[in-house]
Amino acid sequence: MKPLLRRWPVVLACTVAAAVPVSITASGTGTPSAQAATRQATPVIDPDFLYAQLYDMSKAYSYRISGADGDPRNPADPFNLPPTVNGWQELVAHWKSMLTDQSVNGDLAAFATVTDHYFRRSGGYRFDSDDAEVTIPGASCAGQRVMLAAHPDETPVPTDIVGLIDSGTTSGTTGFGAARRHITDSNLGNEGAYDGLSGVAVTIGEYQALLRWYAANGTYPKRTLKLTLLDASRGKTADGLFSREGSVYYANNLIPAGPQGQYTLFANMDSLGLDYPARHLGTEFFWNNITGGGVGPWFTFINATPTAPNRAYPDSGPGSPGANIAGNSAAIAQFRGNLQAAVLAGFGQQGAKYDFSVPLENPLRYNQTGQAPNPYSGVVPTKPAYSAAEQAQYSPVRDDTAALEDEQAFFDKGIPGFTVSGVKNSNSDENPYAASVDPTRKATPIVGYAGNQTTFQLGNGTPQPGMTTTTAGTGPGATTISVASTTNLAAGQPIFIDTGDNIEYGQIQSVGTGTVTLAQPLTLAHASGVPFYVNENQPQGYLSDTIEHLNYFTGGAPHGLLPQQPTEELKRALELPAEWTSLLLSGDGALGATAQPSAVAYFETSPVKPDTTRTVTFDAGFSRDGAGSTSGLKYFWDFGDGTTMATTSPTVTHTYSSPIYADVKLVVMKGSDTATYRQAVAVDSPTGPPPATDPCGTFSPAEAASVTAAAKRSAS
Amino acid sequence: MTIRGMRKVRRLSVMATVVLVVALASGAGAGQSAAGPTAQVLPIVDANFLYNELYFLGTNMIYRVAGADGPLGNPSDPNNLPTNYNGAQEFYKWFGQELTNPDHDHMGPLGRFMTAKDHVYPTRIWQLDDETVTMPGQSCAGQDALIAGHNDSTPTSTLVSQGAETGSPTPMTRMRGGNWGNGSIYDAGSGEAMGMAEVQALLRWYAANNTYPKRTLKIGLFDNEEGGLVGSGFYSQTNVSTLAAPANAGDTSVRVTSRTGVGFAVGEQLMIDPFGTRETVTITAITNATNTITFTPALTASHVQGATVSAGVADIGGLIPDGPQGQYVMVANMDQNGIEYPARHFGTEHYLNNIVGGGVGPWYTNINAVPLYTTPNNLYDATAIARIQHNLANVTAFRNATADAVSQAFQVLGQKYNFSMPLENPLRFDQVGSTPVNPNPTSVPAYLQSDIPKYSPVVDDNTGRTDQVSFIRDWGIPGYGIIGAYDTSTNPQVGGNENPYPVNYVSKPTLSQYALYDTNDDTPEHLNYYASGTTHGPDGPASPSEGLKRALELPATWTSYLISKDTYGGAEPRTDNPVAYFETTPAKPYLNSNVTFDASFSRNAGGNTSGLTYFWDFGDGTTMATTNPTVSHTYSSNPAWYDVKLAVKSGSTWDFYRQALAVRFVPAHFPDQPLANEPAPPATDPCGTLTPAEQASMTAQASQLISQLSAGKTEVIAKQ
Repeated sequence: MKPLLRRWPVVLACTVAAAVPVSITASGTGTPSAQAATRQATPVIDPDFLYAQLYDMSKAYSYRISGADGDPRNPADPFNLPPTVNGWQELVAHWKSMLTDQSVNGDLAAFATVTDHYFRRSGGYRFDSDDAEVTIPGASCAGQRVMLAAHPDETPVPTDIVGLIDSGTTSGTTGFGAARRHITDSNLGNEGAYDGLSGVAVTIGEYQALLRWYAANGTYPKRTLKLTLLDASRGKTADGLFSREGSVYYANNLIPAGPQGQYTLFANMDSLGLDYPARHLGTEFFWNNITGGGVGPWFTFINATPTAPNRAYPDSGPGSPGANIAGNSAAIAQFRGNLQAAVLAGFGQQGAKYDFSVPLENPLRYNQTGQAPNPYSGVVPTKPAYSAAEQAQYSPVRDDTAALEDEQAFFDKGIPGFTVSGVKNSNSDENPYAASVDPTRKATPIVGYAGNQTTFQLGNGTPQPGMTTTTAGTGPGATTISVASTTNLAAGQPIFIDTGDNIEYGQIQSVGTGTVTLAQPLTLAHASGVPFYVNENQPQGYLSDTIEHLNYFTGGAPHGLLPQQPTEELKRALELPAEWTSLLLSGDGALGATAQPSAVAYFETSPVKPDTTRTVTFDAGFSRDGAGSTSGLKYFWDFGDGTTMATTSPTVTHTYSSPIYADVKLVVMKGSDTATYRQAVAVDSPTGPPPATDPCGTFSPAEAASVTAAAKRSAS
Repeated sequence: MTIRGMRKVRRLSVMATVVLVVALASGAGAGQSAAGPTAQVLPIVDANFLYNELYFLGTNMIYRVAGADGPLGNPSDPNNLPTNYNGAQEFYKWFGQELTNPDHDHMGPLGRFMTAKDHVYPTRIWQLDDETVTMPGQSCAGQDALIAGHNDSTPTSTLVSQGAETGSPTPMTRMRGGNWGNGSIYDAGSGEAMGMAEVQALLRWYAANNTYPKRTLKIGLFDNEEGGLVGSGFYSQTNVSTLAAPANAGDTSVRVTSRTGVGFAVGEQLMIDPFGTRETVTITAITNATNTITFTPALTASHVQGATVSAGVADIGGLIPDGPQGQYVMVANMDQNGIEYPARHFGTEHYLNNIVGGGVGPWYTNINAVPLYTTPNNLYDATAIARIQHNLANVTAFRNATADAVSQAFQVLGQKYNFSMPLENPLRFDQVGSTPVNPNPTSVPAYLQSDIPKYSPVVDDNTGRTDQVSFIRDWGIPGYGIIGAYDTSTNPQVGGNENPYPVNYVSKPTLSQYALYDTNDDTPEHLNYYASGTTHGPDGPASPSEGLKRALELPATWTSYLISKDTYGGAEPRTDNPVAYFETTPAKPYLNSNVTFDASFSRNAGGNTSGLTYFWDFGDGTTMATTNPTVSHTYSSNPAWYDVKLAVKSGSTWDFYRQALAVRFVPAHFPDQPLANEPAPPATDPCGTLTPAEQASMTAQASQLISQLSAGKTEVIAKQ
């Protein structure tokens, strides 16, 4: 192993510093470090494991449509379709199984508990969706939670197909053409390898790295770790955006009132693989060697909680997204510092591992007759990579200004966090063409890389159905837009206007002569000549979000030398954000590390927010003894209304007699080992402030002695 | 002495066949049963083998672009890209290995009689390869039954470069029309795998019955099909036309009779008037509008109208010899299969949806056969029609035999599958979020004889897809190409039968392309999905959906039935004699007199080449005994026919083969008639057999020369 280069000073100003001493990496193959041989400085992603997860899941679980795959509580439901037709149930089951597998993740996986949070998505779905979750309660601050999220589901076929086909016309807006586009805008019979599944695989890899790191050092997370599948993310709104119902459900219903059970970090993984340090098609030459040189690597989006209210998170008064963000600005600022430091540290760590270079794997150049290569004589060329300058250019941490993914529901609450994702289209930063390239050429639409939604398609320079431009500038509040062509535009269609940060989404109310009226006014000004597109950008759709395409767009080959092997560049592109995310999460500002506990006490309630009921179920099944077992545990409850209970059953139900903001306390005992936790529960919409208890859910020494003594008396 | 078994295998009635095959198919090891009291009546396609081969080639050997994967003679050249970038070279090698592999799981013991040969044309950056794998026939090796397919994928257009450089985005759409980064499962991996499974079924059938093909079986990969049937065109090219007008000394151009598939190309040698004043010039231009060929230097003599003119791509010429032997009795071309009967669209009755009033039928199979129409079109011009009509009796018999085989396969597989077909996909897209109405798989009736006219009729080739066209056009060889769905045109002349919408649907939309062939979406998952509505079978990513498996099995089955018929591959009891067979390089040695004779196709009774001794009578008075399977011989520079005879000795047993060879000229090719001064070919048996007297004479001569061979002396030549 090469010594880490000095050009990577530790610039970690914040709490992450302690957890990310980049003087050591543990790649597993190096010489023993000066430190104890068993000590592992940071979590280390196993990229082969990560890719194997992505490969296996994408091959096994097709077209994962939530709410349409039978009762999720019953795998034997005949409506649980085979995984080759709808693999939603099977993917969730696989994910749960992986995260609780100690042979995969090490001993700490014994502390993981699976819970399901069922809800019914809108639109008449027949079965429940599920925000499935795996929880490892923190040892010293279980009351604060860190979430690692991804979405399991893919885009379903819209429900208007019948009418469009049965119209008997071939119209691209009201007939068969539109039906076909809608169908192909779905992930029908597809893997969704890029969108969604890559995020799921990355979270599995991060989780493994974290748990192995704790185990290697004999430590344990301070705070509570949650891995969550935010379900039903891929319905479509009238504006053509993703409806993201699972994250909305979670944020609105599964976060307790406080002060415990709050989220200090939300990390969302989505559409990963087509990001830095990989090159377009594994070559410098995107489509070709455009006059003046090749193109840079893919761009990585790191959309973080904005440090101040913005257009996507406006401050419209108390409780509004912007107000929540402003109210948590200190924590957000600290988080942003930690995030930036972790990304930079991840670059350094990966750079040291890979000698600060990335291979250009694809020898083909598409300016050769019959695609013969420009031969490299067997030597794979490399490009410098992982430098701090490239981090700033290709993986900058930025304010989320779009609010298009599952982070929105959490950022609305002012929770610090980020979504990391690869490219989506060719707007602004991610346009592959060099700055010197003619703007008209750069404007060629190159939409849906790697089947981000469903498909990859090159722009062909001819006006595509429903793709036009504005012919006059508009100001905020405009509803009537002048467009160059109304061909294939129709009432009801979702649209977007403009590019980059100025992009806005909407729905067509009516189409006039050279004008379009929108259902809702625009909020920004838009110049004349900007794109005005129907937000179904595949006039001919192809169901192409496969693992082979993801590899091809990243590394220029559908796989490594064998079909189940990754291209090097895809492996790297998945590994890098996974690595820095695991660094971030391991930091003291996130999960942190503490000594392995002799027992862990933790509970959650059902409902999480019993606003309209006085009967609450308390689930202490998350609690463990020092070995991660639940067997032989005794539970002592103080429900905060003067009632206490001792039991060997992990789950109990208590009915309160009046509205109360209850300070519920739990003592878990096994032999002489005890652990405590408290969480405030707002029962039946109480008035008055929450209990002034520690957000970590800890007790003062006196309180702890008192409640533990009571518990021991009760147990005896 | 070889007394070739001429007794026909007794053919059973269809009904008896069905019963017997079903009994065999239900037992373990069906298709590989040892010869015994119960014969195996018909070949049995191993659908699992077929799909395994398809999945392997389509997931391992990517973007098989012809002539762009390094020099074929040097696999270690750095331009031979890894299989995940361009698997063309590796695919050829693998194809040959699989088809010659005598393992139980591959070809079985008769795989030892298979010989793989490359036929290389230096026409792109690197060579194209028409690879053939050959099993010489026993009693009629001089006639060939060919299974064709193409190995290559659509390359990305080179216009991408220009478009990107100039700023015009238009050519970039051509990028999409390439199979880059793709295994080309549908086009044409499916055809390749079907051909392999057909050969396997035939070889297992022969082995089970202890029989052997009468005629020579060949399976060929024709390169650069995507470039316009290029490889098959090279293979079938005739190399000959005639002067359409007299030519005079001093002329630098000639007008020739319009003939497709000749092989004229700029830069090639043009040989004029071999039996007059033969001249060889170099082509500098070809003007198609006037059928004029310009060349250098100028002619030195005059030439009569009707004199032959010859040229061939890369000066190599076609691979079909011109004499009585080496002729093809049929060609069955496999291409783009799997989305065809009995599979349903997306594995459901409901195509995209339950169109008002009901669903749609199964996919349509295009069986594009040698046409019987007599009006020329852009596929089969007047010359091609004339050649077909010239061979009409065989053409008609072939079409009837094909229809018979289709019918038989429907019956046999219908029995096997209880005349039903599962609908694997329970989704109907009129349901919210694609929730099925009924999650349980259902099935529909299938393999009915009444389905054949609707979904698998043998029809005139109107599409020109794909390589069968070259053989039919240039030689009038009976043949067909089978392909699954490729568009939804409602024009019945071009596969309009495959439009899935009910007749009463007012506006049948055209979908332009199914299963995304010739794009970077041609994957096993897609092919499975279009055929059956599920991305793969229940046994993991490498397992087929039932719909796709059946859709590949059915045409492979009836193709194997067809080839097994007595008119084509045929079957006869295996003798204990060796098998003698040779081919020549060039196949048409019209420019030079030096010819390489390759007898390495020959085998002893066990299918091995070891211990064979070869005796050649080159037909010009020269004989040779040798232990080398491949020899060369130089003929006189005068154009002539030679009756080349080969005797192969293994221990005390012999076998014989003869093939007529035209050297230093290409005979006039029908419908052109030879001038009076062109000699007729030897009047020898098209099967390439020798009379008992000829065999006795060969044996005597051979024994005398062979006795002179020794360890240090591997060739002995004698001249009469």
